[in-house]
Amino acid sequence: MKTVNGIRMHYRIAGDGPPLVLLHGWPQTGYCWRKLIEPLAREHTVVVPDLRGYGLSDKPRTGYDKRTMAADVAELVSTLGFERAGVVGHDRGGRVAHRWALDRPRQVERLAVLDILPTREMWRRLDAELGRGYWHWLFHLQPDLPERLAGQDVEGYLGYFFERWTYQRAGLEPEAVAEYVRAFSAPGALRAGFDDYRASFPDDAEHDEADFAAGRRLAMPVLALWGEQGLLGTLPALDIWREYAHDVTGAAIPECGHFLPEERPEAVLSRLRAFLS
Amino acid sequence: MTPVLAGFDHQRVPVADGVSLHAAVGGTGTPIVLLHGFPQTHLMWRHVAADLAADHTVICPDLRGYGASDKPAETDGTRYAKRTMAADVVALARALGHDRFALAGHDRGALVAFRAGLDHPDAITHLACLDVLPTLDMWDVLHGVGAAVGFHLYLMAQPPGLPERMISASADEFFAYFLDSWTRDPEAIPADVRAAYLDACRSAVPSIVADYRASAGIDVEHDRADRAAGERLRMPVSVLQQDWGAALGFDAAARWRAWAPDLHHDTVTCGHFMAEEGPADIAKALRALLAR
Repeated sequence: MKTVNGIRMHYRIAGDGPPLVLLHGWPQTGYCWRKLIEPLAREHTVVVPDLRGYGLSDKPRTGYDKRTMAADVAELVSTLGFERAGVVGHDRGGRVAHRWALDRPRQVERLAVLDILPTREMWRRLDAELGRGYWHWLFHLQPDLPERLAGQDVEGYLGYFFERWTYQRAGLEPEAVAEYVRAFSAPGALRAGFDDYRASFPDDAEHDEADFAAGRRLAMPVLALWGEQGLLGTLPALDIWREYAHDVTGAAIPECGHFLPEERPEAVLSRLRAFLS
Repeated sequence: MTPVLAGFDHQRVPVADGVSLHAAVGGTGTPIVLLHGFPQTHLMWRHVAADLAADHTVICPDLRGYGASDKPAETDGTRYAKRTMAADVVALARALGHDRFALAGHDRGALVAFRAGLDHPDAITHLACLDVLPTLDMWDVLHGVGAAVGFHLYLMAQPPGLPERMISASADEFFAYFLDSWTRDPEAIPADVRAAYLDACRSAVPSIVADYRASAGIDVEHDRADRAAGERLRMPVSVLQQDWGAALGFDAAARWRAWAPDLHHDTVTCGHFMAEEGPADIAKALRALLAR
């Protein structure tokens, strides 16, 4: 636990070598990286925080815009004594990572984004078809109602996404699901996760729009990975990322849904190793 | 005490195989059928129905799946199609002795009315749709963050399971959310009426979700087929919508005109529940429609 940017942030750290930060998404915690930490730690100092509002980290009332959430992890990394780091972000963590790389390009050496498109692109493209898959974005934006509805049955709500968004369902073992359900049953945890989504409009959208309009693109190497059987498998993900960054490589992970690090850890590991070396 | 439409008779009318609708019937004169929306019952017409009953036969059913009407289980994806619900309404009017009638609907009821106008042009003399777009157009305009106003459409479009469970577990809070947030004048829905809506919806969760789920699938297919075939509403049509101003972001009148060549499109300055928030305006607009 470290105090950064005014909140107590929980993180795991393992290994030696150049730092690599792994940022989880919703509805998860740093636990989602469990299958990758040990192999990556052979060559890196792996830092795995629970993002603001998630897991064992503080759940303040404010600061869920990606700029603040990125400042949290940026300060964690510098507090740990690192000037620069590789950053891997999945889902919401990928959005924090993208914002981190835009706001502090000197600190983010390389960026890997797992199963996301830029938030700006999501809002631009969200139509009836995409909305079917991303309905939770619209639901989570509502004030207070999601807490009330999901709060009656946290396991049922989270379980829906674990069932629907996986291709390799066995990748999320019962103990992993139990861990996430426990994390999101903590007081304030559901609210904080929904606040992360609520910040995506207008706060994150405005920040993203301003950067895009000013011509700011990512200059560091970017790796985009997505699940072939997930929603991004139906979109030109690589072409889209190339509008936001100069140096993009990437690939669909075959036989994989949304939860890449848990469904296909070996495939993700080999892609990450190639990208990081 | 449960509120009622004063002076109206309450009837149960078989309209389809094993399905009866509950309807409040009052007044005498040329017939008009009024269809309620979500999350409501026929009670939402209490002011407008009393006004029109002075010189019309006014029929206010609870839609299939709502209020005191039957709520058959969805088994084949067609039981809550607007085509099926529209056929109910035509059968109801016929059973009450009216082969031809004017039809006005609000919200979900307007989608049923729209479908009735396309499917039964010889039965519907005049058509009014309050505060909706046709299903095909609605999905077309829900775009970007603007789609958040329709979050419930996406929630209830999800496969059976999660929506029913989650809404049932917090039914009053869920339905009240719309009653409370879609109105500009909360006094327009007094406590006893609000309680009646919540009572009715609490015991109708599967059928309400089925109605919405149909609008994410089979209803769109029916609209699309009619659009492709060049079908139009042949009767005089009035559309009343909330005055969103430029915030709307699309030309609602143009979208309606593409379906209804003989269209009067007006905006009303009130919330979504316009028959309760601005009943005099609505009654006046319906009388103007009936005079066309």
